[in-house]
Amino acid sequence: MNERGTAGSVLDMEFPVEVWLASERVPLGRLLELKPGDELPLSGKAEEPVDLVANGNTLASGELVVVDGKFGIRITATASAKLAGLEPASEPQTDNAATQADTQAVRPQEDRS
Amino acid sequence: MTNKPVLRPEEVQGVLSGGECAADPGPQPYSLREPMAIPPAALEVARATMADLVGLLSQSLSGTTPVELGLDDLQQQTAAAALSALPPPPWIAGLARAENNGGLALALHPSVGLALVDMALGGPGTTSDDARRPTALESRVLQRLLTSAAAPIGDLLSETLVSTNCETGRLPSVIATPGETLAVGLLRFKIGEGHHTSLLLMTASLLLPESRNTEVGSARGPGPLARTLERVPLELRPVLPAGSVSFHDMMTARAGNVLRLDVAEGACFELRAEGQPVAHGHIVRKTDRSVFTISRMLGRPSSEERSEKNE
Repeated sequence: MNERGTAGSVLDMEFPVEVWLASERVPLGRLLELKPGDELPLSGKAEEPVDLVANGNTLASGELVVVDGKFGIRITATASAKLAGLEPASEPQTDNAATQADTQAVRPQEDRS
Repeated sequence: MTNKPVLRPEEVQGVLSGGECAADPGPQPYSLREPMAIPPAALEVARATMADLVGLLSQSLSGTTPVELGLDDLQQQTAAAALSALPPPPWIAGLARAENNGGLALALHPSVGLALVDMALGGPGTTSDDARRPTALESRVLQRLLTSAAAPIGDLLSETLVSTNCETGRLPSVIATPGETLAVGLLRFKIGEGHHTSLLLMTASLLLPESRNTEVGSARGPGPLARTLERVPLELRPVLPAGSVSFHDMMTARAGNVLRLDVAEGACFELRAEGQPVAHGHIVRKTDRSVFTISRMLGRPSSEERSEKNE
């Protein structure tokens, strides 16, 4: 396998990611009382960005969206941009990313109670 | 001296027609069900409780020949280490708590086991140096002997105890697994002219009054730090396990791109406390705020869930 081929196979490798919402500080006593059906208010606003995290490292921030019945994340800032102190900027779409027209932002279910 | 055998004639018949001794259950897993045993501050109370228990056992086991039974020492050891102190194969009869939550077991020097069985059947309590496994009949007699002591021992410990199948060489798994740390009483049996050491092995929490009648995993009651600990803040975070993405997709991602994740729209979020999942649920919007609605708590099932599962 030539050098380019090796790099290509490495780039095709996948790694697990998670979407992290903002954290809360809650006393242990409150946690011990939680039971199914309980609601835990989150301090962040509904539209607050979420983080895309791999192995504890934040790769990007963005908005949770739905694409064809599956979750996606519309990236608003990448880790490198954050580290450089740059403002998120509009960039051209890549082939692997869905267009914005195909997606809808995830709005948490409206509470009808 | 009374001339009454431990088992009455009708009980001997019951023993003779009783069920067979349990077959070898095969390998047993090691367990850390109760890695902490008796704290130093509670040792004296535990020792006194075990001494009372040994007194009850002595009364129950005495028949035509009085049995002198004393408690030499109380130690804390794994079940496997304690049993290795007896010549193989120790004869073992047990009383178990409900819900497989431990119990106590009498592990007898084979010679003591033979003598007790002999006495129970009306004999003089002849001892023998022949270290062998008990026959099925001898096992049933031994089991019956301990069953007769279950009620007074249960009263002393404020527990409901049921007799387990007899074993040789290891404890019934409902009482303890080989790696489990137990309270181990070194018993001194004097039958006739012979002295032999045997063991009383107990789930440690049975000897601690404040933690009796508690569930598995919470065998030690709340201590003085409980109130303070309840105020310790923990970091709770809703997390969506989002499948995998390729290095290529991430390396080419830029602001404005939408990265597709391999997780369905209705998937549950995890609620993590200091990084550990504690609940599953969904994010629900309330006005301009979001709330995490808990659909399932993770970890140990509740008593109701355990009952439903058993049914």
